[in-house]
Amino acid sequence: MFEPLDPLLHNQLRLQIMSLLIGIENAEFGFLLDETGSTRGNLSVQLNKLKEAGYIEIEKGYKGNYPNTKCSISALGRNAFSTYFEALKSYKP
Amino acid sequence: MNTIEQAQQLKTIADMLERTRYNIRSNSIFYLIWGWLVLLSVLIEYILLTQFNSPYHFMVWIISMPLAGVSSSLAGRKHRLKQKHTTLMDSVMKFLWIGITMGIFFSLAFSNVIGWTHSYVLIILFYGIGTFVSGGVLKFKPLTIGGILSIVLSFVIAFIPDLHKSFENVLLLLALSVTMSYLIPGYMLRSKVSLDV
Repeated sequence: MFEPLDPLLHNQLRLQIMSLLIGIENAEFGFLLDETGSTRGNLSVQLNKLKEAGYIEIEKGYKGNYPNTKCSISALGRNAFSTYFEALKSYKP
Repeated sequence: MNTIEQAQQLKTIADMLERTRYNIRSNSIFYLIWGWLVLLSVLIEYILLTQFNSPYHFMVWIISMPLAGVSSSLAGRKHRLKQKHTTLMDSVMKFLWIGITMGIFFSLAFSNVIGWTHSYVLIILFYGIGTFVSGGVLKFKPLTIGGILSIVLSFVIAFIPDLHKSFENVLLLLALSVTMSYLIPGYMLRSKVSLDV
């Protein structure tokens, strides 16, 4: 019997975001945009979905004189990612 | 989910993790700033003591250390503006070196109580520990070796009376130690094209 995969993390872009955030303390919106190759609109939508699920935290502030958005993974998100990863590894078709 | 999809998801995770590696090469500027300013200060102090017998030999530090502090703050600010993500290693390095700097200032502040020689022994020990820990966590051997050599040197100076009785000797050994643990690893870091942890 296989563990069910978290549908929120099974989406390619959301998995990319979570995989980037799992290894670091925080990342700016621009960093996520560059590394995922996504569009601004799509990235914003997926970040909001992850935020609503409590998987990530979003902090809005300033860097120099410019607005800056920073994202970081929450404890809940860390657990969800770990569970998803284990389930994925155990899956043998 | 089929095998291809599973492999794709695992590859996505591995690819993304690869992109968040800590680039230790960006640290080289801090080792070079502090290394050169400490080395020049030590050599100027040595000349003031031996050639001019000046009682104000320590004054060079009052100029060089704030200069090093301001220079590294500016370099740090430039680095932060460019950097779009913060790794755990960034925080480890930041707090390690804040702690080491506090220890060094403490040693200097109490030099009138413990004497210049012991104060400098503590300074060599502090930044030896800093470079040893940095080299260990960043897996960069030249830093680890430089750190070990500085720690050993601080013990040698502390326990060999002939060495610590002569403040001039301690200054030359401090110059040697800063070259081994800051300058050589700093230039080695700079020469590497990519060093990610």
